[in-house]
Amino acid sequence: MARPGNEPTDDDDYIDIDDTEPEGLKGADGGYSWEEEYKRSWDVIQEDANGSIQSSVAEISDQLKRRRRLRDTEAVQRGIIRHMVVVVDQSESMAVRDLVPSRIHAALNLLETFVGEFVDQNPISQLSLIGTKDGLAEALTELSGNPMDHIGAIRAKTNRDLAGEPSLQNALELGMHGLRRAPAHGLREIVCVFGSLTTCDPGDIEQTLQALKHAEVRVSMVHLAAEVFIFKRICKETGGQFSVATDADNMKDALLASVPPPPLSAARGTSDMVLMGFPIKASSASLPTPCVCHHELTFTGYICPRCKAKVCSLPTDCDVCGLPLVSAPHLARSYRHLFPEDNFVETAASEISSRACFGCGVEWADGAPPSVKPQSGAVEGAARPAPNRYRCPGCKQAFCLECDIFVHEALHNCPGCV
Amino acid sequence: MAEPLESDSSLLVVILDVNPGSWARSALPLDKALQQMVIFINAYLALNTENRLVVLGASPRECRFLYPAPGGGAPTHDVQVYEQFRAVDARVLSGVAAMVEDAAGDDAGHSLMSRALSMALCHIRRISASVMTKVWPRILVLSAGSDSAREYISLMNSIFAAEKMSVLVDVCKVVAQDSVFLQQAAEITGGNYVRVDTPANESLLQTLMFTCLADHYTRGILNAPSNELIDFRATCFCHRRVVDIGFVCSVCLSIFCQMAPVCSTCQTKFTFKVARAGKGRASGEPPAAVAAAATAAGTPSAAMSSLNLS
Repeated sequence: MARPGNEPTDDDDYIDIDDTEPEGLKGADGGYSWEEEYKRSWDVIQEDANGSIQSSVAEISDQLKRRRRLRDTEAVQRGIIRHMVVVVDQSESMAVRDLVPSRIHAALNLLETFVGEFVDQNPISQLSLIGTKDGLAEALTELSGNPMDHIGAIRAKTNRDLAGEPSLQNALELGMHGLRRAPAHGLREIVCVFGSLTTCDPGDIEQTLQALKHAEVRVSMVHLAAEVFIFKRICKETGGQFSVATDADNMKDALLASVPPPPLSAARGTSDMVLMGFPIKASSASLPTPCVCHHELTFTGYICPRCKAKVCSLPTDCDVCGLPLVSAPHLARSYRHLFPEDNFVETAASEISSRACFGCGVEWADGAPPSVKPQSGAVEGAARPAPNRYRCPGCKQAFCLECDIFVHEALHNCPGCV
Repeated sequence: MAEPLESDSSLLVVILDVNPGSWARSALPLDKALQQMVIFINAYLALNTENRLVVLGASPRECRFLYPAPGGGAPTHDVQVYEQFRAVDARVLSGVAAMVEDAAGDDAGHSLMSRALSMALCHIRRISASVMTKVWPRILVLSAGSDSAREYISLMNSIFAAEKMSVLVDVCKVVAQDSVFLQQAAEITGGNYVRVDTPANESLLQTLMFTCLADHYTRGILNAPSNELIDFRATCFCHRRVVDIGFVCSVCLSIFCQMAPVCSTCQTKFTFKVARAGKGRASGEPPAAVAAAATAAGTPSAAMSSLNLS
């Protein structure tokens, strides 16, 4: 060393690339915080008394389930009839690979799930898709209640071509234009999935914001990178949600949050009686007849009660007379949003006298007397430390965790109360 | 969703309506029907050794898992009979007998069909989650009763849950009168709806064998019996009339056969400033008719205040 006295200052000039140093970035288990997704799951698992790891694996999966167990059960007025425009960013920033395989692929794959869920939970609502790239916005699908239209567009390869910058203003204007034709008794919503931190707009976006507020359009956005002031402001001022997705799971949660019908604000005075048709399904085995929606010859179809035209699927608007056609089950399916099931109360196993879960009829994993061999149909829940039961506040019957989740997420009526 | 393979096993949930009151009105007596049902069940079990079976009994009072029964004693052995057939036959017959005894007396009610369907779906979900191999679930409802309007919404919830889980619902009706709800259940889930109302020997068994025995894979090849007209019409909330064009409250989706200024279900006052959906339709009833309709519905004061507002 030529200048031994200057050693400390020399060291300061080097950029510290020693990865043992900045302790603040390290997570609890020794990895960097951005590697958190890959938790050392094997550290958590411990053998139980019999040397089996089944119980701790089951415990982990139960914890995941429990996280989603409690939900909002308040009976409020909800906007059941919705018209939603989904805006997808198709700019170059969506090619970033921070989500696997890339932002655009992750987003579109998720949107496919979203469309399925949306149509399932909002049977008399309509969706439309808009893509934005190169400073332009383009409608990928028109407002329609048929999920196949949208899924076809999502899967199309050309819609995964990325170019230039997105234009939020153009997309919002285009979306608003489509929503203007929607009847006023429905909710109007725009949901954006954005990856870009910039927007390339032709005019003043403040005016667009005012127009959105005037037309009562709620704008929500899921951003894949970071919070942007103007994006958040538009969402906030129109009453929507702005969220930044940190990873794929987070993006899923954020996007699927717009699936259940949102509560209506008391101020909205646009309730109305809607004239709807309930068609009869007609089929003829001998002679196919053309449908008015695709102009194809089919054997079965639904006959519009007003103009007697035949359409292929429900729910839809009659192409001839414009009457909204629904089936009575579709309406019945939406009632559950208005009268949600109560959450079950977690109860200790000792307080429950029944031998088996009321829903699935499977005996409690720990409660079965050893002399009784399980039937071929009965499931063995593995030897677990007494899992808790879940009791319905209405009928006081006890359910297992699986049935609890199933009743609230898929079935929407308690087997004991009906 | 994966396509069903020929080797895949099935999970069949049989829901037996054991309401003594409705069986009394049917041409086919319950014991005859049960005998034929048991033969059908044995045929189903014999088709594939991996096939799983659940039998649920539904009476107006309760729903009970008959097979596999929770905590039943070990049955006696008989070398002449295949062990599983024997267990199923004994459980189902004794279980139904016990339920009929319990249900004797209150034969006026409807069987708890939506509860039975809900429990069947809970069980299917539990089984599907616990087995490694793919099991194709379906439900067979043997029904003798009529529809109960009270059950409509819960029944529809169950049906849509079944559709989502790709559970087929087959319905076999043994009385002359069609069940609109169960017809819709079969139609929505892609199952078959058949009606057997002849007391002729073995006609139930024959129908079951030909329409309900086929598994998911075979159904792709077979031509299912088609129902010419399926009624997807709704009943209005105000007069219980079946309507094909009705007015629907945009807030609570109640169905009415005529205009009213206030929704009788959720008390929403409608704003009539907006043209009703449906392009190019001439404007509706004059206000006088609206007021008259409201008066008929028994809410004249609310109607008037709402009209003043608009």
